[in-house]
Parts: sequence; C-alpha cells; structure tokens
Amino acid sequence: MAAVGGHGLQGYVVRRILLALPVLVGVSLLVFAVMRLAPGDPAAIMLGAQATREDVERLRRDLGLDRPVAVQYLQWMGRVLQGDLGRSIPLGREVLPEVLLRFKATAVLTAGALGIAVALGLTAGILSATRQYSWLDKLSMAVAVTGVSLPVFWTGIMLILVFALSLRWFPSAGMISPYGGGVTDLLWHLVLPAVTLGTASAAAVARLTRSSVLEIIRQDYVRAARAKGLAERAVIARHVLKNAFNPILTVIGVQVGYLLGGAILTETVFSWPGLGSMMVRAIQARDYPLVQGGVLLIATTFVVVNLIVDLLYAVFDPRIRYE
Amino acid sequence: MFQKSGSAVFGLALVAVLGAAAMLAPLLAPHDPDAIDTARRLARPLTAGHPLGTDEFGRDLLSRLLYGARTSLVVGLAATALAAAAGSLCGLLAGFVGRWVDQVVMRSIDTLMAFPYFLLAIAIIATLGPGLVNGMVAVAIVNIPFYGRIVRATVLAVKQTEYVEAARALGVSELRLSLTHVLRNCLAPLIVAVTLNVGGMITALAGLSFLGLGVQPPTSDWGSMLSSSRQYMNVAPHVAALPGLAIFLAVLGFNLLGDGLRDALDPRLR
Amino acid sequence: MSRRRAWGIGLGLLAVALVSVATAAPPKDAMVIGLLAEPVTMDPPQITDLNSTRVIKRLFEGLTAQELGTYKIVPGLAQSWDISKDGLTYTFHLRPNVKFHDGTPLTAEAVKFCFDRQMNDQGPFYATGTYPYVKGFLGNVAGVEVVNPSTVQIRLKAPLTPFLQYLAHHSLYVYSPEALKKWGKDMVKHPVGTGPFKLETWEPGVRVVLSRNDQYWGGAPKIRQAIYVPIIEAQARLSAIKTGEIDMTMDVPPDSLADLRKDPDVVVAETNSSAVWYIALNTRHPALKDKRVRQALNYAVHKDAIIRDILKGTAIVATTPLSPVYGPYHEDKTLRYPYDPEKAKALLKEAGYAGGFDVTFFVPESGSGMQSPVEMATVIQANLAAVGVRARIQTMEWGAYLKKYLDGPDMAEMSWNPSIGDPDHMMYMLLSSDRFPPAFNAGFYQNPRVDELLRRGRTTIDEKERVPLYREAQRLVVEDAPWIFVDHGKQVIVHRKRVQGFKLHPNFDLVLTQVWLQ
Repeated sequence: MAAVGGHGLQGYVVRRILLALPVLVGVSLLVFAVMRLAPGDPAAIMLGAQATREDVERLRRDLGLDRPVAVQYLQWMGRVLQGDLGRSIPLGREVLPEVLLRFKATAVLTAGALGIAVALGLTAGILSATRQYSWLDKLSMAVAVTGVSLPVFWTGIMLILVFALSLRWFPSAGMISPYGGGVTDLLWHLVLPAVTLGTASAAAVARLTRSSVLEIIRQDYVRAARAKGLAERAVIARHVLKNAFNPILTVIGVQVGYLLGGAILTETVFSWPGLGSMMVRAIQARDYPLVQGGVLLIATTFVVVNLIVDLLYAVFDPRIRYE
Repeated sequence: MFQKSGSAVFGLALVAVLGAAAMLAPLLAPHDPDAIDTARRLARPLTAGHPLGTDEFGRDLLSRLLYGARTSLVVGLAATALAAAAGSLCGLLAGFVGRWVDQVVMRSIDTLMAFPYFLLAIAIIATLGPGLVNGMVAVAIVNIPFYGRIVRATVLAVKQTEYVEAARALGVSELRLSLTHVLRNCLAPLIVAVTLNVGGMITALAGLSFLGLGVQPPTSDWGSMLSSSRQYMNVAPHVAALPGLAIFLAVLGFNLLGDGLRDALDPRLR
Repeated sequence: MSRRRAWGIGLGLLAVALVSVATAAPPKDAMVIGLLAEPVTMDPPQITDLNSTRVIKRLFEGLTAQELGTYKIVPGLAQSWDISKDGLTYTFHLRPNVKFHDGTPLTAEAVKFCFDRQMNDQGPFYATGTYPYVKGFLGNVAGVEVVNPSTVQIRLKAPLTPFLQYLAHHSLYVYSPEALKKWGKDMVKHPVGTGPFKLETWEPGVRVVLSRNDQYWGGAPKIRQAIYVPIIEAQARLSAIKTGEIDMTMDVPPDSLADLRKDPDVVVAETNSSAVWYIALNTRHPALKDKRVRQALNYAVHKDAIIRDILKGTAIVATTPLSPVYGPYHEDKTLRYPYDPEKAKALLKEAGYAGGFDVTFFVPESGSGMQSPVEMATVIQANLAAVGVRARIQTMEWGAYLKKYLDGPDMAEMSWNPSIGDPDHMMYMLLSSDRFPPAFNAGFYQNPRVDELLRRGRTTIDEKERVPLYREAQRLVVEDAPWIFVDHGKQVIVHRKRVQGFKLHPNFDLVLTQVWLQ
C-alpha cells in the first residue's frame, strides 16, 4: 500500500478509506452467507403452519428467494448502493427507516455507556496509576476486574430489582415513559442500562489507562519535568495524557465496537428499542433484509469510528502517517 | 511487584480450586445433579441434605455447580484454545507469507471484527443449531481476530529484529529459524491473551444461554443455570446468585492470573 | 473550590429533575399495557402473533363477534344474518351508519373489497401483503356478492358450521378500502378500522398509542388512551406492574403470583382458556405406534406436579383436547391418566418394551403459549426416564422449531390456543388425517372413526346433533393417546387496582372497551 493518494495526512486518509471498503464488502458477504445457511425459510415462517407448499413457493418467488444465491446477493448489493435496503419480510416495512430509527436508540445507549466507561475508567485508571500500589489502586483495580467478570444480563436484572423495584429510583424498562417524555425522561431511563453496559467497558478502560499511564510515568522526560518543579497535575496533564492518548483511543475504538455489537443483552433486559433487540428477533424470523441491513449499518459505523480513531492518531503522532 | 504477584497467586489459587472441583465433581457432589424432586424446589441454602439449596426442579445446587464447573470450564477453555489455534494460524500465515496473503487475511479479520460479535454468534448458532459444542464453535469463531492480530504483530516484530538478520547471515535455514524465534516470542503474549480471554468466553457462553441458545437440558453449565434462574430472582435469589458467583470467581481467577503472567513474562506490556 | 461547587450544584439540579420525572402520577384517563413484544404489523389479514392481535382488536371489527367472556357468537358489524337451508348462502345485514376512522362509510362494497383482496390472487391489491389464513378460513368460500349497500352475501362451496366463528377471526376483520388504496403495502403502519379506538402514534419498539374513537357506534370507551409498551424481560414486567409504571400485563413468572396476590394495589385475574399444551407422539415410530406405549407415557408423566410446581397453579390438567371452556362440547367422561409409573412400566412391558427405548424429544425454547417449555420438558424427561424411556432433548428456537414440528418429529411439544371458539378448529386441524402430510397433525394420527365424526361435525348445524359427535371423538382420541395430554393453561392477567371493569376473554384478547380507571 505504497503512497496511494500521496504522502501526508491526506494520503493517509485516502489509504485508510480504501482499506475499509473491502471490509464492508466482506461483512455484506458474511451476513448474506450466514443467514442463507441457517435452516428455516422466511416464507414458511411467515405463512405459518397452515400454508401449503404452493403458497410457500409463491411467496418465495415474490420475495426473489428462488433465484440463485449469487444473483440475490448482487441484486441486494446493487439496491443497497442506491440507498434501498429493501423491505422486511415479516414486518412489511421498509428496512432503512426502521434500522435508522432503532440505530438512534442504540447510539444513545452506546453513548451513555461510553460516557460512563470513559469517565469512570479514565478517572480510576489515572488515579490508580499515580498512586500505584496504594489501597486506592488495589481497590479500583479489584472493582475493575469485577466489572469485567459479571455477565451483563445478570447485572442488568439485579439493577432492575434493586433500583427500580425496591428503591423505585429508576424505571424498570424502556427508553422513554409510555406517556411520552423529553430529554430528562430519556436520561432517567438511560441510567440503569448505561451503567449495566458501561461497567464492563469502564473496567477495561481503567485497566488499560492505568498501564499506559504507568508506562509513561516511568519515562525519563516525565522525571525531568518533575525535576523542573512542575506541579503534579500539570505534569500529568501535559505530558502523560498526551502520550497515553494513543492506546486509550484504541481502547475507546474497540469499546465502541463492543458496545454496538454487545448491547443486545442489555437491550433485551431493559427492552431498550435498539438495533440489537430488533436483530435477535429478525434472525429468529429469518428476516434476511432486516438482518443484512442492520448488520451493514453496524459494521459501517464501526469502520467509520475506527477510521476517525486512526485519523486522530495520525494527527497526534506524525510517525504513523508514513506507514 | 510484590503486591501484584500476590493477586496473581490468588488468581492461580482460584483457578486451581475451581479446576479441582470440576475434576473431582463425581466424588464431591452429594447428589445426582439431574435428580428432580419438584416437591423440594427452591430450598434455601443450609437445608438438610442440600448445603447450597435446590433449584427450581429440586435439584441439588452444589452438585449442579460442581458438574456445571466441568461444562463451563471445559467449554470456556476449549473455545479459547480453538480461537487461539485458528487465530494464531491466521496470524502466522499473514505475518510470514506477507504481501497479498497478509492483506487478505487482515481484511478477513477486520471483517470479522466489524461484524457485531454477539450477532455473529447468534447467526452461527442459527445455522448450526443450539447446543454446547455449537455454542463453543460460535464463540470461538468470533474471537479469532483477537489472536490473529496478536500473533501477526509478533511475527512482524520478530522478522525485523537484528538477530534474525544475523542468523540469516550465518546461513541458518530461514524457516526453522523464523518459526522457533517467532513461536518463542509469541508464547508470552499468547499465554497472557488466553488467560485474559477465557473469562470472556465463559461470559459469552452464558449470554448465549440467556437467549436459550446454549446447552440443552438436563446438562448444566453455569450460564444456563444463571439464565434459567432469573425468573426466581426476587423469590429465591440464591438460585441466581450462586451460579453468578461461580462465573464471577472463575473469570476473576483467570483475569488475575493473566494479569500476573503478563507482569511476569513481559514487563514491557505492563 | 468553585469548580467543585459548580459540579455539586449541577448534579443536585439533575437529581431534582430526575426525581420530578420519577414521581409523576399516571393520568386518570389513560392506561399502559405491557406486552411481551411489540406488535409486528397492523394489517389484520397479515397478523399471526398474539401481541399484534391484542392491539389491533381495539381498532377493527368483523362481521360477527364473540360475546365478552365466552365463545358465543353475537352480531358484530353485521347486526343480523340469514343462512340458507342448504347451509351454502349466508346473507349479512350490516349495521347502519358505521364509519371507518377515516370517515368513509362501512358498506357491503367495503366488506367485499376486504375479502376479495385476500382471496383473489389476480386482484389489483393482492400483492399488498401475505395472507397466512386465507386458505384456512376462506378456502371454502365460492364468492362474496353485494346485494345492496347494506347487505352482503357470502356463498360457500360446501356447508361448514364453524364459518360464523371464522368471521370473528381477526384475519377477516373489515378495514377501509380507501385506506388500502392510499397506503398499499404501508397499510401495516396505518390501520383504519371501525373499532372503539384508533391509532394515534406508533413508535416502533417504544410504544403504540391508541386513542378513543368518539364516533364509535357502540358508544365511546371510557378511557381516552390505551398505550402499549413492549417489555421483553419477565422480571422487568414484574417490576413495572408492581411499581405502577404499567397498568396491565401478562406472563409474569408463576412463582411471583403468590406475592402479587398479596399486593393490595394489584389484581390477579385468572380464567380457564381454550389452550391445550400437549406432546405430539409420532404414531409411526416403532415404539410409539403401539397404543399401550403411548398410554404408558401418559401414565408416566406427573402432570399435577408440573402444574403445581412449575406452573404454580396457572393451569388445569388436560383430560381431553377440548378444555371446559367449550361448554357442552367438553367431554368429561374420557379415560383418565393419573400419575402411575407402575402402570406405565406394566404397559411398556406388555408392549414388549420392558427395557424402555430411546426417543428424540423436540422442545422449543420459547413460543407463544408454550408456558415454560424447557422446564416442563426437563421434568417430563425425568418422569419418562423413571419408567425406562430415554428421551433426548433437542431445543430449537421457534422459527426452526415450527419447521421441525411440521416434518413429523418423534416427540415434540406444542400448544394450541385457538381464538376460534368452535371445537372443529382444534380437533379437525390437529387430529384428523384429512390434512396429511401431516400439517398440524404432526404425529400422523389416524383413526377412521374419528375422521368420520369430525367430518360430520363440520357440516352439522344443529347443536343437539353436533355435541355427541365431538364427545365421542374425544373419548376415542383420549384412549388412542396420540398425545401426552398435559394441561390447559389458564389465562393470567395482572393489572393495577385502578383498572376497573376488566373482564377476561377466552381467546386471550384484552378487551378495553368497557374498562374505566379509578
């Protein structure tokens, strides 16, 4: 991948984008193949038990499922490139608006969880690193490991039983109140699911932040800055954070991927109207257009986020651009 | 360094205890884990004959936890081994052969990573059918990229080190030389990665059981015990708490062990 | 210092805001129903799932209806009808001055339009949807004619007694032709019917808001809004009904019912339903083809324990496929299968299976009306193991399971919850060999006498002649034991005390027309 697009930042961006395209094509192929391999026929499932073989065959023809798989794939991709993701088989509704709507909900949840993960994780990680081996360090690392070790659905249900049922501080389910609500209502509903989803991420961020910061603190130039007499906080802010930025950014990028894909259990437990809970149902109904469209959207987001992360890398560290 | 190794030893101890419990389950379990006694369901811990209580079918929880350890630990380790083996193979291939093979393998790995991981597992299960082995395969496939990247990075790093150049200058066979050096260098990060990953595998399998796609009754693994017990969480919390605790301890043990190994084997990575 | 104070104030304000949202009281004229999942579609002929019907039955009506609380057929959109002597021609006189939600009038043309859309596969609107029920309910219809704007005539190919019940089924509900012409395939999101409520908003995955139809011919409902929210997780539903976030829900874990019954703010409403939960046995399997073996299995399963311990009393033992809800059609003099493992072993020995046998037992992991499929399967597996029958459980998710079921598995769970209140619908579909291969008669059960009785039952109009036919059929079926008859699930709905006037209906619908809030 020599110097396509030229040297410097621009070239880097162009190269990264070009590398991302085959990934998206790969994802589309993968989801298409896996769904087709799964036994169960969406037409038969839709029509239910009372359908005759002719009924099912006719529906398959109407849906274009009788054509060879390669042809189906090309037709689907062709339409996707024109912005048409087709219609959900059992729902009868168009895929794109449906998927975008649910994606907004997942994005809100992901943002909330990421916010908690970063806020808690960064703070815990930095505090631990700067007070290495203190009781604070050990405690927060212990909590971090705990966060990673608890299954998400278990945490979620426990939170519902404690904070919604017993204490009545937060709602039991859903994204907004049934009677409708504004931003405050949304935030109120967001707390428990975001904490559930964000805890595991927070743990990972904390551990990584701690090790990155530790490594940097040991570097000579930090010692030099300290020797110069700069206040501790300034030392951290200026030198440590700037250099720890890279690995921390990587973690965040990975976490976004995890959160987007891993929100399924949280969404199910809290009935959060996101992409994940919709996709589980769609897979079970063999709703090809919906699953394919949803997966493609998630994958695209993941790729874009990683692209942005890589870009931020390059901005902060010129060495990377010439790879 | 002292304190750190303290927690690593604790982790090792945990893993050892759980592993021993799993292996000795037939000796340690007071009852048949599948014996149903619906009249005595949801008995609290410390009931006569059932030190940890019973589940929703009246089956002894201690016995089920012990036998469940076998399933969860074995499947978790097997899934990790599978993922590590397959991933390492990909990484070796990409790193060694290089050029377009490298590109293809890396793009494939990126594709797998871009796919929402849990959905991929569900889709694979939809294809293979629910069950223990299929769940393991699904979770393993989803984790291949993780190992692929580690191994490839190591291979690339090793290829560039000076003493490979030197050895080459001395005429040692390229392949033999590379493999030995690479494998030796891969070992440390792989071991660390594996121990840190087992916990994630166990939880992922538990998640699949939550959706009903894991083991089939009456086989028990901690994940399906946890998921089937959630109906009783407010009535008999111990039925959910105990398998949850078991999973937690296993994952904790592996994570602490992994952290300790990482600190010991590769101080640079700390 | 000041930065910290700013943080403190900020958090404090946030807390106050959150608390104010948390303690808001529910409105006096709107209620929230927590469903298991959100509705799939709102186009009546396309609906196959219970959650969608619970919503759309507030929006649409059929020519006939079921009296609330029973399966008795009463006038719906047709206020009266005549049936010709040969049972082939039904003439319906429509209620006058009924309007659809979009203001267009209910006419015979509209009724014909709705039926033709599904039946006529060459018609201009056929492609606007898929119709899972058209073969079953309209397959026997020769034609629909408009006699005059308020009279519509339906001609059948052969007499079919359950036909009036079919017309009360949601797939034959009447909707506005203008709406279908306008929306086409998007009808799924734009329901326009004649019902007591109309659709106000549908936020997918979040909520469905129905509001009162003030022009409803039967008198406007007392509540202004009915809001449906999906709550997938059972514990969350339980929590929500206890805190009062929702006013009504179903399918709470049976173990929590004891606690709910003691709660002064919550009412647990129960009634028998027409549901039957059974295990279909493949009558072509080498061991299961012997009647004694099948009877042995029935003796081996401890049904009372299952109902008491797993279902926590939310069912009654099934002694016949038709539950007591069917009134005179329910036969209570069938052969009984009390829990008797010794008798089971004796029968197995007699049939030559003293050493037991192996069988694969298919179990869905979920599914509407399947109660607790995996738990019940686990107990049943243990019961059978105790008499030497080794059942290997194979769970599948519902989509794949249905396919497996229709292929004729050796042993598979199923439950049947008909909204059609006619005994024919259950017995004929499940136990007649006319519909082989095998359709829903998954076990290939075939008894010529039963077939004959069921065929006659379909065309006999006089109830006095019909009832004995079904009763004899039930006695024969229970003795032949093509199923392991397990239970009739009760309908259990939990609602807040402020919901008054609520009455359960045997087909699992949640009727809100007569409900008011305290």
